Amino acid sequence: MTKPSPKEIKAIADVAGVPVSIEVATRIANSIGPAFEGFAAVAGTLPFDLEPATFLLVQGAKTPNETPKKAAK
Amino acid sequence: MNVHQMSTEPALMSLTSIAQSIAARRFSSREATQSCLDRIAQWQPRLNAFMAIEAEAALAEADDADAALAKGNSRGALHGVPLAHKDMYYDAGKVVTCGSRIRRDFVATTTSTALQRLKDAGTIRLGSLQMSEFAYGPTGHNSHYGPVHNPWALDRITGGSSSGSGSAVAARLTFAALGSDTGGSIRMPAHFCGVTGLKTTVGRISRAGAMPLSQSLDTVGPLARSAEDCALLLGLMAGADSEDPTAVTGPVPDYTAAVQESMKGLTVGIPTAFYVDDLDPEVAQVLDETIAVLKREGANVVQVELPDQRQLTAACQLVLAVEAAAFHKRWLIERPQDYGPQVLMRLQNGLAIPGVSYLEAMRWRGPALAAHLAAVAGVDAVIAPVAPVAAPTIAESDVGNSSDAEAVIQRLTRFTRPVNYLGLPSLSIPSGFTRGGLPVGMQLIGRSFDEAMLLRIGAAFQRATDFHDRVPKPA
Repeated sequence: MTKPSPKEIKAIADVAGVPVSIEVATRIANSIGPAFEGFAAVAGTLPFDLEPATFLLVQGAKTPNETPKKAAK
Repeated sequence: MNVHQMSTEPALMSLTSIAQSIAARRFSSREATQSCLDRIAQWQPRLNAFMAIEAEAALAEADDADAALAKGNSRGALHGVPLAHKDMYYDAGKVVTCGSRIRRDFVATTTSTALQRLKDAGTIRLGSLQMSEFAYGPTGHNSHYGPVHNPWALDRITGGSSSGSGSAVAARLTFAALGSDTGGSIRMPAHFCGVTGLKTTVGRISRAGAMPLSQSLDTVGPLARSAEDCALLLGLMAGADSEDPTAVTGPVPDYTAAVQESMKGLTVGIPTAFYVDDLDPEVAQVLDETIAVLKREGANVVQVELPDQRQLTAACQLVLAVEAAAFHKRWLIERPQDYGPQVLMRLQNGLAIPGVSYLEAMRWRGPALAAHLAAVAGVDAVIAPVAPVAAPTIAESDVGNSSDAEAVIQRLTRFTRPVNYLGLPSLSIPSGFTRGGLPVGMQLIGRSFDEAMLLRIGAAFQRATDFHDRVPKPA
């Protein structure tokens, strides 16, 4: 996933109805860049059938407390 | 710079103790309330922790509570206990500023479910507490109402966004306070101010009547003087609510029973990476000492390899930015000049994130939580620092809307955001002090809806240590 450029951000903000200057768009690009970079390994890899509501299913499932892992040094 | 809690001054007692003392009529509600008001008068000019102080009304409520008790009528477990909360919980007929200029004169017409449940248990209102504007800031700065100061060192930040809650509980101006945690806003002030803070599981406490920031991440929770006090408050607030369909149904565990148990035989995980990387040496030392206490108290401490936390942090940022921008869009169009510079900057960030990116971050939440739960199988809780440093100065963290502001914010909150994205509960407990006298907190991270385990471990830790009992003195 590529982070949006300042020019693209300006266009997106215009479409959203909250126009920003190119200076603000540049600042936004710098601010959100790390989030896009951090999520890049996940973006575009998710299976077709995965719904956001899966979170609630996992959250509500009972997790068995299994064997402890190795002891800390 | 600090004294231990060895006084009979009512305001210095824990929430649990003062509630029991009022019920047993060892102290009146008026005495407890006046004691808090005396401390507020002493500390407020230094801390700026309160948004509103309602002394006369509080004393009148206290007198009513005392009169009712004299007739044998108790309203509940917190009868006559004075409290103040983060100024984002709607209280019908009261101004609720949300720390903002935009809502400077907003009068709530409803009362939030969490607040109402505490009122139903008998609490009375001292006033309201300062916060970061619209709960969107991790330091405690507020460009409209000024920064809140840390009672342990007045030139230091409190952390945010529940800045007033952290500061006021630490200085013993209120017995406890509601905060909210969307990216770390309960745990950061708890860590920086030396109090106990509980970030609850998403869905554990109703959010009806609480100012929204991010519908997927927002949680309600208490800041208090001990895990025992948090347990009492959680038990009163948790549970289904017809006003909030996201609040889970089903029975509420007995949290006050959980805190009576020891940690013997429990397993606590220490992450092998991320949470132990790039720590300030004094924070690292407190982590080591905390682990030593856990072992001494009978816990089995093991290493855990968690999935990539940086991806969780990034996903959290995508979700939070978009949802916050969506809530604020109307005001972004109509009243952008009424936001503080940093909050406006952060809200604008959300405008630039494509819908597909946001939904990918939301779709990944389930698999990410499943991966985390698999990694902590066999572990009752994970222990980790809340932040890599103790409280920085107000001046050095006053980054406003500068070009590196987002980077500063991300550095401060890097240990709290993964928990928000996964919707997990986390308890921040005072765990030590730096040589300069600044508190350091550690967070216990649990499984979904297993707040009882965190409170159990936290209470056992606090029976073995006295960090939570230490009280700052006015400089």
